[in-house]
Amino acid sequence: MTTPTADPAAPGTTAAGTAPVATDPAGSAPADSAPAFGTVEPEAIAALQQALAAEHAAIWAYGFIGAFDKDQLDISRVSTYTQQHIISRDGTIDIVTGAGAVPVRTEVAYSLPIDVTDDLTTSRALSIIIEGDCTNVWRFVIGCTDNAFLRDFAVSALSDSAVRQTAWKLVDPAITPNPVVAFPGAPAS
Amino acid sequence: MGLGSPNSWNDVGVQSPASSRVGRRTFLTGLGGAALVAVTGCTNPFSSAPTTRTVVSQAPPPVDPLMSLLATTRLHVERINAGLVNIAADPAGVVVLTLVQADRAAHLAALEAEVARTTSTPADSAATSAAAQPGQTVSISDDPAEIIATVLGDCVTAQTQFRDGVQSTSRYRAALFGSISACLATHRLVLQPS
Repeated sequence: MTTPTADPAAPGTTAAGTAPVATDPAGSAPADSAPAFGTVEPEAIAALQQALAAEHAAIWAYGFIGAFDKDQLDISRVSTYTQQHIISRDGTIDIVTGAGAVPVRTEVAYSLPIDVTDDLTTSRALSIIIEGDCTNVWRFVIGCTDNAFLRDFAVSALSDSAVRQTAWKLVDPAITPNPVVAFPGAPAS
Repeated sequence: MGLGSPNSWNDVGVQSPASSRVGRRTFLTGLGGAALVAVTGCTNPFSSAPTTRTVVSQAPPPVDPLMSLLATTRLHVERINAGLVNIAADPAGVVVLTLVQADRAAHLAALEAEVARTTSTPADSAATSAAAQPGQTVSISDDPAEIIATVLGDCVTAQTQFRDGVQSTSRYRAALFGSISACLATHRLVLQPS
């Protein structure tokens, strides 16, 4: 979905259409790191950095979406979902930091995958894309770790994003007729 | 050989070393120690009774939840199919149940494919013992509201089972189970009464 427009050399920046990947060498934790919640594998830390970057982007995008809600029809939903992403972001930062890595930072701004015009339909469509991106990265985290705590955390984040995505689809069925996805976060979904 | 020579007999009595004699004090000390060992329950080296030994057994390996989840999913699909027949008079209910049925059928197909990929046992024969047989009827209410409530309850149950299954399986299956669990969470949103 959203892609960073900041300096590509900065930590957490990525190619278009993909979730940011930590490029800072300091972002990789030593293999023998053993935080309080157990050992986190290096590949899991890389996946967590992608998830963190997606959460940063989602928080930024919801702020952008709120600016288009002139009649404040979605203000409560946007506010609630933003807070949920903030909680997920902060939890992810704690895990990444506890594993000995440096969490990726948010970007100054992001390019949008669709043109958001001055109506609610496009902003709601952007919300659906945002949540879909979050389901992708969190499903990837589950498949990158054997850590039970991390799997549980990722399943919660995946489920939350999938539910938010479905809620947006139910708000405006004209965007996507089918409000549910069989395998949220799967590449084909 | 004279009396003063080194090889002559010595008639003087040889004194035994004091340490080789078991004195009364030593004897009583040993007796007291043996009594103390017996009282405190330590192993008696003279006893012929069998010794009780504590053996710490290893916990059994975690059970792969795949077959259980497959059986649950198959049962729920059968129940949704039966519900679709009984809810035909309610168009809105048909729409919702059709969406859920499509996803649950996709879950069932994915789980069967996973069983077939990792074992030599066909999924059909492996899980039917604990679930409804294909073609077997599953009873469900005729009331649309009760049908939706039943399917919603199945979603809650399945979501919990898939979420629990994430913890004790391989990475690929964990991602699959987690994704299905997330899908079931969205089903709860769709099925809940508005």
